[in-house]
Amino acid sequence: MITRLLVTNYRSLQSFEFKPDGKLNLLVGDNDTGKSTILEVIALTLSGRIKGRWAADDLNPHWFNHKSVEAFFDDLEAGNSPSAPEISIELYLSTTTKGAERLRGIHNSRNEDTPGISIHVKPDPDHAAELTEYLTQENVPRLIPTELYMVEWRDFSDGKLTRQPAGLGHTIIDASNTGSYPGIDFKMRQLLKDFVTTKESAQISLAYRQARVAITEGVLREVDDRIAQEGNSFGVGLQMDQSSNASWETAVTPHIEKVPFALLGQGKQVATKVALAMSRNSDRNQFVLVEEPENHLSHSNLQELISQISSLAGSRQIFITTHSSFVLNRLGFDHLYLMSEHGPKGLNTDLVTGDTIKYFQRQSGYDTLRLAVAKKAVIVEGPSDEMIFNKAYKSIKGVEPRESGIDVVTLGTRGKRALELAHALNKKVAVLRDNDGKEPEYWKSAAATYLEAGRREMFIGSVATGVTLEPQMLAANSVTTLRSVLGLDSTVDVADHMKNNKTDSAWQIVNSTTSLEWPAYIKEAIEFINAE
Amino acid sequence: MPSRVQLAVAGSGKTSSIASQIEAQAAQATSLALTYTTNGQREIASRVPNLRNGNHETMGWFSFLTQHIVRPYLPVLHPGIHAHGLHFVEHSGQIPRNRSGWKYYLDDAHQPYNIRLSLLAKQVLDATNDAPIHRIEAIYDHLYIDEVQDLTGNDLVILEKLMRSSINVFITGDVRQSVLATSRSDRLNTAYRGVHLVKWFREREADGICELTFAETSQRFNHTIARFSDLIHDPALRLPTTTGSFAENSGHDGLFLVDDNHLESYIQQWKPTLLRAKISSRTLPNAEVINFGVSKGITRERVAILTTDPIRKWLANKTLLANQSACGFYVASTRGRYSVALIVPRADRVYSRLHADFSEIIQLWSPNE
Repeated sequence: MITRLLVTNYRSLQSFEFKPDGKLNLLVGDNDTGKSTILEVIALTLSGRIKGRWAADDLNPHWFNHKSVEAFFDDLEAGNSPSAPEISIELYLSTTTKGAERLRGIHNSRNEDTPGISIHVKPDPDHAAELTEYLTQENVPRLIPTELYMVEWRDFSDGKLTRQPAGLGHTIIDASNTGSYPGIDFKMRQLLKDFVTTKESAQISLAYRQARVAITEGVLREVDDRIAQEGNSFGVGLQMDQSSNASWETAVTPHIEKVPFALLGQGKQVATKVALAMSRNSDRNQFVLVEEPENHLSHSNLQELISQISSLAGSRQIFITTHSSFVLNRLGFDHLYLMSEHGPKGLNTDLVTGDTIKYFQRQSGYDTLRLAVAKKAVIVEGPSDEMIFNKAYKSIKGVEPRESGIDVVTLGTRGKRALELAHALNKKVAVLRDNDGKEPEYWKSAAATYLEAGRREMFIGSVATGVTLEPQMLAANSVTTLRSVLGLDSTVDVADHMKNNKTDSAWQIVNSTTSLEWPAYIKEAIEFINAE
Repeated sequence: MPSRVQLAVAGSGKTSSIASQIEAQAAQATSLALTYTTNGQREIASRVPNLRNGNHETMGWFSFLTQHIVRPYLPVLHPGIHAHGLHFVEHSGQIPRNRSGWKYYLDDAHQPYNIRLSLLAKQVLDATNDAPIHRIEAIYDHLYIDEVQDLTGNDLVILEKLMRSSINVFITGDVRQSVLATSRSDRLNTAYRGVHLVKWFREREADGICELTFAETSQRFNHTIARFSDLIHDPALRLPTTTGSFAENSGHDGLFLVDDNHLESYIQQWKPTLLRAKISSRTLPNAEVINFGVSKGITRERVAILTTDPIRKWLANKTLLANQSACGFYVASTRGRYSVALIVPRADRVYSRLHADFSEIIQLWSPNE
């Protein structure tokens, strides 16, 4: 069981720590927050390979965290001599992890006596002089010269690893289209390989070789003879490929109910991968990494996949990245990890109060997810507030909030809960609420723990200009303007009408072409959330 | 359960006993066999059945100390040092002086000095509350230690911790054949050096951490050779009597005194392998020549031993040989299956003055025989 993942300077993970759950980990976050990088890092550290290639063969400047590289070159250009960026990955395992006994020791940055594996990418001491020379050039490209670097793959006992430690199998399941015929990519081949015992593999290998010999010496011999007799063959002969890379794995393809894997629909393909990965003894793949299962899958296929994953999990440790609120709801809120800059944060009581957890657990999950994946969020109380805010934003900024990466989420009167969560995730959030007859300062001081100027602020109209949005709108505009926008005759009290028909009124305001003035607290909120 | 210690005479099948125990292990059980010499490792490895290959390892004592005790926990004592490989020296004189801190134990390339490795291992164990032992317990179910007589000093501290661990430990060796040692400069446990290791095991047995047994039957040589070999070590050690079960008769069997001047004709007639205490400038007839220490583990039809002064004194009045000389002579005397010849100057005179204990065992050889 992976107990901790520490990553420094690898891709988007500049300084990152993740303490996963022993069973299920649902990683939720916006694009580019490094969700899939976490899966990549786990696979890389366990197997020494990345997408089927040895780490040292794949190493390239893009492995390094962009910010660290920029900082390094800035420092270099300023005439300093900063030490060259290094990548460090440490994967901690529990002492009871099967197959990890030999990986135990204290060679990790925490000096913890536990099994684990580390990867260090650092300047190769044999090329130290070349690196210095490279970095002292004029106009050096702002890229790490990885050809002067080395990749060290070691376990916590300080033993060099040369292949994946036996027993620490992992399986990657992605829903991506495999594309090429026979539709079996590296990961699929890996699955197949694990499925067949070494002895069986040797037997298949032998039979396959014999078959190739039989074809070469039988029907192909006759063809060759004919070619030779007809002359001008220039020594060309036909033989079955007997080189070692013509192994049986490339010629064998799984069939599902007699249909070749490649010809199966996307959903069935993914289901097959899951079945292959999870039907075996968990000794052989203790870790299952699932990347965005909702991609390319219909809702019913996704549903099937998720139930398959949860029923076959056994004692495995599972990591799933997702954007889907459905996946989240099915697999449980308790295992949710929200991505943040320094690592995924579990939604647990270290982070937010138990009360808030309960609150979000009772929610559909969808809105929580929106808050988690949004770059910036505006929390409003109800649908009318949402409509008005969107309209105000568009009229001031010329674009929809969503086009500026701002998600407007309706969360009733629980803006404080959202603030608590946003505080835990360090999200930029504006909370708009009605004053309910109390001055803005009252609400702000009640939520003071979670507020931070420029980061998380509350926007509330003053009591003098109205208790809810509707009187605030009235205060900002003349009664006549609103009466015409709402299409009311002079007998109707505009304030009462708006109060009693909140959503309808908002709908009419949104659809109106009349230029309106917006309450000051909404304008402030727009400027706040729009600022970088 | 207490560890099992079997002290066994040469040719009693120690290695095959280990091999058959490995074969009898439960299917999923994991095991490690340790021995000091590379020859011994090859011997065990070649006898382990293939089906155990995934679950069994054979390794040298020094590799074991490095990989399983020192390396995983070295940062506790010396952070930033990555112990690997081995720097082999014969004695501490070959290590530069004034090396302190980690450099006392490892060379500049971080390779441990063999003779200081077990001291470093003990320090790591002390500093980690025996964490390496717990680590090893998680890896192996069975531990076999062959040629235990090669372990000295701090090795014994580590051995005892292994014996007290939850691992099923089987230890074997022949204390009478202590011709090699992991470290001669180790000053700990000197009272148990060489053949005196038997006392260490007897004390551990009294503490209840091991069961001590002896294997006294050798299939390698005949009974006369067995009787002779039993006389070499100090009787105060109460080592059990050896039985030589090799019963084939060749017409020239047992112990012989051969005069220096007859050596050439003896070699021509019986073609023995010559064994000597150490390399000397003496010109020897054309024959296979091996030093005592190196002869350990080999078997020959016949051997002829070039005697030393102490050996001749011992033949005359049973003056005990020094610890290490006795072990060397014991190894030499237990190499031949049919016959062991003792080459002495003035063989007839030596023969006439033999100690009474030898009179029945040793015959005088002359060329006209």
